[in-house]
Amino acid sequence: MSPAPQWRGLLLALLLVNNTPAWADYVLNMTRGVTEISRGVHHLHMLIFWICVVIGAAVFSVMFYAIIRHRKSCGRTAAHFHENTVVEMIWTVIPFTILILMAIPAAELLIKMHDYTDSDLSIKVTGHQWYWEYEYMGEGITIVSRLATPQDQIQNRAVKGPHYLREVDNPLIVPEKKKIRFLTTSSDVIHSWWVPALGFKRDAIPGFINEAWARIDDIGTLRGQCAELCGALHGFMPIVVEVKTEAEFATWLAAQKAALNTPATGSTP
Amino acid sequence: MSSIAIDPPDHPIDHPHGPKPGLLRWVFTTNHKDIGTLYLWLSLTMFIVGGSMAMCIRAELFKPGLAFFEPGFFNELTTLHGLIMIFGAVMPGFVGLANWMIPMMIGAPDMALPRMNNWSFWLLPFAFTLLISTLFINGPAPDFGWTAYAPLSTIYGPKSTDFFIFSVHLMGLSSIMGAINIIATILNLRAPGLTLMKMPIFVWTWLITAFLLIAVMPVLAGAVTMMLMDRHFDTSFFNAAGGGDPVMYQHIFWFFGHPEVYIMILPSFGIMSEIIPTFSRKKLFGYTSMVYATSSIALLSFLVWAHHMFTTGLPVIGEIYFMLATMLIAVPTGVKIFNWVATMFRGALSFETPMLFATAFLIMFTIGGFSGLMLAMVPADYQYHDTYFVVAHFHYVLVPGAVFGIIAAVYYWLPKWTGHYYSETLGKIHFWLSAVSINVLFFPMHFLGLAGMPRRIPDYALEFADFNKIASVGGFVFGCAQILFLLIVIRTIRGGPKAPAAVWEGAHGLEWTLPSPPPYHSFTTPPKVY
Amino acid sequence: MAKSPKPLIISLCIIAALMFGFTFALIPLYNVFCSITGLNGKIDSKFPEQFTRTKIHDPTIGERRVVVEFDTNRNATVPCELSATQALLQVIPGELAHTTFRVKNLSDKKIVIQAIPSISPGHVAKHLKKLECFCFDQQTVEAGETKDLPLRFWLETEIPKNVHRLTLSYTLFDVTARTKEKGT
Repeated sequence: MSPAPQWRGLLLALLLVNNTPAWADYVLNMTRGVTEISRGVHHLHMLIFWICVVIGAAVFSVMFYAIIRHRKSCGRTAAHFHENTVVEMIWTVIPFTILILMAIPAAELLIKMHDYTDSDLSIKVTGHQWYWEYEYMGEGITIVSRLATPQDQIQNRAVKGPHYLREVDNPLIVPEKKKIRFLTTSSDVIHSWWVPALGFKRDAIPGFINEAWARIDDIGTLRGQCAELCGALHGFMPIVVEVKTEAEFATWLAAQKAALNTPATGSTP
Repeated sequence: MSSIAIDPPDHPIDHPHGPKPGLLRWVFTTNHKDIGTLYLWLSLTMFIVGGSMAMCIRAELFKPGLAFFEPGFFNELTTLHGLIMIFGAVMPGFVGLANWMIPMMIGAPDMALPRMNNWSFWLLPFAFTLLISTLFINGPAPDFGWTAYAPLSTIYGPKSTDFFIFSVHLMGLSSIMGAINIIATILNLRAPGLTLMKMPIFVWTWLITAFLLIAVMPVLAGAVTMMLMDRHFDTSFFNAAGGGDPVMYQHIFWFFGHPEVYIMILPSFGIMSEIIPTFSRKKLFGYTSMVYATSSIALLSFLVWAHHMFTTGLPVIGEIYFMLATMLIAVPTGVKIFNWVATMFRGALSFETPMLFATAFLIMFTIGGFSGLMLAMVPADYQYHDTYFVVAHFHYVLVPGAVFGIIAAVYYWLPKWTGHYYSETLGKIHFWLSAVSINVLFFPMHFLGLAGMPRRIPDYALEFADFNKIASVGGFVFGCAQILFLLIVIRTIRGGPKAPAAVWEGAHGLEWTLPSPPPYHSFTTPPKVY
Repeated sequence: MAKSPKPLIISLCIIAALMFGFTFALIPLYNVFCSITGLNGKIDSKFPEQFTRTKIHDPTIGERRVVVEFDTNRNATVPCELSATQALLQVIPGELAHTTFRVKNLSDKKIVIQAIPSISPGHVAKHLKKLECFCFDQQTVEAGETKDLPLRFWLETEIPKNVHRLTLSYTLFDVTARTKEKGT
């Protein structure tokens, strides 16, 4: 391995102190994602984050004021107050109000996320130890999607590729601008299907089906991985979603069906 | 009986009520101080064992690619790290403090049930020997995470799962007996005049914690018993094939698990409520609201368990309820933080080591509380769940929260226990090393989680490399800093400047009326409290 | 000085014992909760014939159709193939619908299977009533045998108006080992 990435880490640690804007390569925040819902999630995340920052700044500034000014070594003597009903009421009611106000947009978004009506396409996602299987429901097409990163890279015998551990042999192909239902289930232990850009993760539970949906804005490649501990190779079952235009998707689906039917003719009635 | 003789525990003298000579003293002891000491040493030992596992984890995660361990062994490490830190380091640490301090704080001679006290301690070394032995027997050690979700832990669990189940039973039994003892002591042995609403907050938080323990440890015992039955007796509690439900396990587990989180933080709240007023030289602000806030946190903790399971597909209305209930907990927690800050405000502050740790607790626990608030928002939790953001969150509340609480308490009461002051210089070095490195260790994990790194993975994509490296460096420094803590404790036990009865200038309470070190039996005649 | 702690200790022990029992009581409580809310789509109640007759042919049917999608899964260890003979059905709420599933034993041994149903979205699960389902009982499939399994169900007319599509999923589990041990 080249020494470069190691030094980069140290440099970054130094940069943290110097506060130089060299962050472009590093992901610091949640992705905005590629769906309306995921942008909503990002917005909610930022909203609650800034509320926390404001409350934190207020609490910490009072605290640091006391730490700096109210020291014994500065010759202070302690005041004697130890109760104040009005103040205590205020700091119970204000957080309570803020929280109730926060819950409203969160609940609205949540209800939107759980609206599974009028979908255009259903894809069943089955988690296995340790790969994903996708079935286009009603089409008879199944994709088995396994980690494509060679063992040599994992065992540090080869240089790691740019999509190390986030590449698969057969990606999931989906159309843009369609409402896609994802039904998740598992054939063994609990897995969790997570593509951050889609704005949700959903557990795949053996014996049960779970539902989620996404309408993706634009073509592109999305990457994610299993998020629930599912055994030894839990870290090695990535997800890659290729988003295609509607026409491309239709062509691809037709080709898959043709390929499926050609060798099968005659063998099944 | 009537004399308040000063018998230093390490100089046993021929006295009917003094300690037995030799090693057997520790085996047969029914003395609250001896048992407290045993608990604290067990806690420190387990902290070092669990910490070494954390060092291994951070070493493996130092850079992408598998460096030291197989992925399966990595899972064993994360599982045992979690179990040992929770049940071996934090909980016995608090029980040790309770044993040492509660009788002294309420003016009692000893705990109410001294022989049961001995048993509840001596179950633990066996429980942990059993648990750790799984690393050395054939086949994998428990490798399903400390949460042990079915079916990974039932149908797919390794043979050693049964060792895990039995050791959890032992830990649970020990905790329940310890809790019964603490409640009986607090409710029955208080000095005349010491009413409930006059008790030190540390005693209050432990009373509430003990009730939580009695309520939820049996639930954990039930959960692992069902697991055992599913594994060996053909039941289908958690197996869909027989009409069971794997999600049911998660409900039961988190019905235990969420109160458990508060079991690990409430005593720490109590410690802070002792230390902060002492070094502010000012009475605790809002004593009554502290008691009510602690009780409401404890009650609410039973109503929020499913916020650990938002991604399992609960009905929308259920998710909204659990979101609201969870956010509600932020209110009493906020009250506590505000009260501590108000205690410091216009005090006469000084920053000895316990106060430094208490200040770090305040800041970092608040940060952990904020990320907890963020996690309560269900739609955002769909993104945060099971990522390093969660790892950052609970380490921010458990390490600066629970662990710093125990460390601060040790510095605070060590002069009382040993009769010697610790070295303030070394204490401060320990503090600054810990406080800086812990942030280097855990803060980048927020970024990792938001960027999309799931927890419990031994290897990761290249975009996570830099922050993992920083976190690992912070982890190694934090680990080494704790060796210094061990040295400081040993040094203080062996000698140091003599401490008077009132160790700290601003401290109030019955424990400071006893000499340092206190006599073998704390208050043989109950003091009067007015 | 101190009063006897005995009554207190006894009551604390009772609390601990009750909580242990409560854990086991959670199982039936949870199942009741599931069947009320449709959590996990876990509805599986058989209904007596006469009760269903009164519900079928409800006059308020109208032109509404709900698409019921069938889905099959098999747990890792099952050497059986399960498929729906029809991928989906257009069902009129209130009217009886039937379809069949086909199970094929791929192994050379007799096996006993149990199908576990799950419905998504979960909240409509309580409106899907089954008259006859192969999931009610364990099914024995001889080596190499292919078998048609019946399903008769109807959707209640009370099913929420915004539901146009639901998925009825079955997961096959191999329970041969369990039945053998019980000697049946």
